[in-house]
Amino acid sequence: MELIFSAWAIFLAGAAVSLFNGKISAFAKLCAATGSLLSVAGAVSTYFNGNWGSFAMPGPIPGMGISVLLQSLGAFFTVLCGLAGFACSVYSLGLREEGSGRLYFCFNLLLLSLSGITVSGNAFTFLMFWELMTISSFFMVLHDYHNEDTRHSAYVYMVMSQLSAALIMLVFAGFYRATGSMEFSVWGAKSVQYSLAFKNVIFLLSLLGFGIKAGLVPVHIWLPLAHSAAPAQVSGLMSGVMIKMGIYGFLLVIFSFLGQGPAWWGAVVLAAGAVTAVTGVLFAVQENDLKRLLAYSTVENAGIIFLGIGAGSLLNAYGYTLLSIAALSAALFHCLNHSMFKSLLFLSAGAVVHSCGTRSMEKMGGLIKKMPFTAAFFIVGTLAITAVPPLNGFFSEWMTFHALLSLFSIHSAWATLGGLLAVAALALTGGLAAACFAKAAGITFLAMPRSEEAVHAHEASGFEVSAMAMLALGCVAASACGMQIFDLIHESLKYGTRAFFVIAGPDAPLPIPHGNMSIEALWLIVLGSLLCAAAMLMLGKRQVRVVPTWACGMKELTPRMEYSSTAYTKGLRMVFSFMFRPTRRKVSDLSVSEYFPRNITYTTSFRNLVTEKLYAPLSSLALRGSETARRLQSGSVNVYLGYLLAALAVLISILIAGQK
Amino acid sequence: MKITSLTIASGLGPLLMVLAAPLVTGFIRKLKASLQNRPGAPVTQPYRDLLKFFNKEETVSETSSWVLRAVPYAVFGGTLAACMLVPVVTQNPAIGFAGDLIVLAYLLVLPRIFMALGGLDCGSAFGGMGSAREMMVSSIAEPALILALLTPAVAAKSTQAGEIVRAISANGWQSLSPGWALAFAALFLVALAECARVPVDNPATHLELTMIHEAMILEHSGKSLAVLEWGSWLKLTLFLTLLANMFFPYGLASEADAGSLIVSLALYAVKVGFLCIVIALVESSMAKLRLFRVPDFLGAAFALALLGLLAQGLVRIGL
Repeated sequence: MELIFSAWAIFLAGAAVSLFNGKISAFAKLCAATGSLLSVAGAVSTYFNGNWGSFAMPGPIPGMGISVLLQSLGAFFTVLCGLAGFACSVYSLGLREEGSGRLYFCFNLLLLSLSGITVSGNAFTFLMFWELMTISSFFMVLHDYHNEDTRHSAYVYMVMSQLSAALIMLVFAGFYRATGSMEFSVWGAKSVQYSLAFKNVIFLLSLLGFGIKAGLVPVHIWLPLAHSAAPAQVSGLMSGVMIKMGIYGFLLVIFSFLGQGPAWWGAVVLAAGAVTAVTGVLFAVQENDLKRLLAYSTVENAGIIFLGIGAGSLLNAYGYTLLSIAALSAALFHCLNHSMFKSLLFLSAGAVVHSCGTRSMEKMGGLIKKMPFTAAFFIVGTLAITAVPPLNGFFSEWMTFHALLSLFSIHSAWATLGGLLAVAALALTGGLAAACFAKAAGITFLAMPRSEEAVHAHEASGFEVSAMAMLALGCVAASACGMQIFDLIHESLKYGTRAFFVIAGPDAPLPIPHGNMSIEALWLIVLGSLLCAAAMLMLGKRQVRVVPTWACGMKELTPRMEYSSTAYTKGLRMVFSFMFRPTRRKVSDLSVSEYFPRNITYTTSFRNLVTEKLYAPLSSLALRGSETARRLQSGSVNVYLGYLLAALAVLISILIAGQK
Repeated sequence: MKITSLTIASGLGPLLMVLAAPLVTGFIRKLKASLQNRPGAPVTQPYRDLLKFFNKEETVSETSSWVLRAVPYAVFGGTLAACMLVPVVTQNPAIGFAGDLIVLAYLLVLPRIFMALGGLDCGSAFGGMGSAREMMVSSIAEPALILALLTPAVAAKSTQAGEIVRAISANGWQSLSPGWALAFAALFLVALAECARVPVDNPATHLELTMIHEAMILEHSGKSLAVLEWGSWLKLTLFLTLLANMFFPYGLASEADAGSLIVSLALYAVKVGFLCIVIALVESSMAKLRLFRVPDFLGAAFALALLGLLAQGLVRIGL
């Protein structure tokens, strides 16, 4: 606990220094790095000591006090924030940017708030840190405020975040009404007293409220905007860690406060996860903006995490507690893994964007020769996120598959159907994610540069590269120690067994038929097989000649002949045309001859049905409502005084009516 | 782990597949030739091709990077690792304790990603085209593969290949359920798509407008081409082995005595040979589909696999 408080003090020092003197940003960055490490150390040491500390400070009015409480679920998320926070801070040490005072003031506060949320012990503390998280990240999204698009992104982010906060406050107010306390420990202890209707309302509100932060479809719209507008180290932190706070909050409310719920909760979460995963990856595949592609892939991964949570919740409702814990562990493990490979991808994408001066992949290419380290680490991230065994992304997806398969052990046709559709969604997501990242890595880094900037690209600085290296190493380590981490998560959920896919009765002792399935052996066979293949390098003739690529008889190959990012996914656009509704227009200038067009203009576009069908009607409704309400605004002071009088009269009459 | 003669016999499975992979391809080519009234090359021709490629100088595009050089080895290595998880002549896979059928499906992602990256690496439009098409095809074929493999897994209550084989063998012909049949059909369609066979792709074409797989390997030569082709043939053998042994595991050796091993080996050869005949018949009697009809074909595979798993799941809970 002391370590975590000292981490907070360091974050505050870093924030204060950069507020007063923006020139010495290195100090603030160092503070961010040290603080992150200290909070990891604090959480880990607390976990192994078993000495769960708590701290309370009464506030001026009851319910407004600070209460800090470290519990195992929170400790897990503290570690997650600290690790990604450390890497992002190290990365920032290599950057020289404008307005760094402002930026690192907020950066330190964001790290403080993330760590604060995970150890909050009452509603007031939680909400305080939650809002601090939103506001500090909002200003960082707005960092490049000269840009019109950035301002729009930040605006959407603020609106959605405030909606999320309002819903969460409603949830907490509900608990306060039901228990008369603001303490989390009281809410959990009284879970048996809640009525079913109350639980249902709380469940729906928190799914929406925390779902906005976690990036669930269709309330994900802020995510691709905000995450792509922010500077790289901030996007890495937002995508890697901040969205996990939504997941943490959801787990806290559903499993710690409400306890067991009806089966349909699990089904709803499962459906939300499946829709989010598939929609997210479909949008990611089509994206030509590198950072937005990564942001959409974050939406996809949030969906995968929610698939695990949904399976856990459904199994829990049917009384399969051990399997449910295994499913939740899979979801939590995916949180950890995603925080590593997504931060890695965002950091390397940031280096690329910085070097090329654009986020559009259509202007990149050939960067593997100019930025060999960044490219190599991006490819590691690609392999991790596309779940190539034995890297960490695979490990948690594998666990999630087993969690979904265990739904088949529930003796209900509905659960079977749910499990089936969820498995299909997860499998489809995996297939599409591979296409998405083959495109991201291939178009960005391989072949020839597509723009002048890409020709003159340069490798990222030492700090940036070492931050990427750390995260890449983390991806390998999280997989190599996968079994141990999985066991730790499992234990931290207060149960001792490791459970894989097994069809057994409710809480029958688990035979663990796959307990001997080991990730170490998987590493061995993959590395062994690759070595066998590489051994063939020694065989036969070893002479290699470097020649130009054949250009179909043209004089030379130009970047314009390469496949572009848009062209790469044309096929998938056609396959999923029901969702994209692609349109294309070709205008040929045939003024000379019908057979020899002088000039061809080709435009292609696709539609975003989520924005069109859901948000456009909503926002036009809101605008029309405001238009109507505007009639109240006459501009005359007398009329406003009249409104005041009328409002007073109404309030007094309500009061009198209430007293009778 | 105790090393017995059975584990050794299981461990030799992948080796057998690696050595037999060119033979499988040669056999299909020979069959197609005789169906088309041609004498065709001898069945051992792929071995000679490999030998020839291995001893040729390699040319590498100047626009390419280390990724292109790594492709053949990633393809071969990834496929070989997947081969370790499927039973060949014994009831156990070579290294079954390292993973299950889901791992097998995901191990094939490594070859696929590297193939796709390699296609892009030279900057030629052909490679890009092949790469884009391959990712379109596989992004639907992969989920169908996973669903098709999970159907016997749900029936056998385990995702491990060895357990599934034992469960199906123990149940005898009772394992043949509607779900089983649907999943088998789905896996066959996936095998055609994943191994670049007609009607999805044509392994014998070099016509740029139709090719997928051939477009991606266009820039490889010499030893790289040899390893890459060998890896692709291995993948075909892997899919045929999956079809043969995960759905008809009857006769796989459970003991390591010479008699049952020989019977098992002969049965394996017969099963794979029969599948080769089916593939040759399909390839000789069908035209390649237009590229934008391919998603319909894959959609059919996906739907069959989904129905298969649903049927199996419902049978399990006794509806």
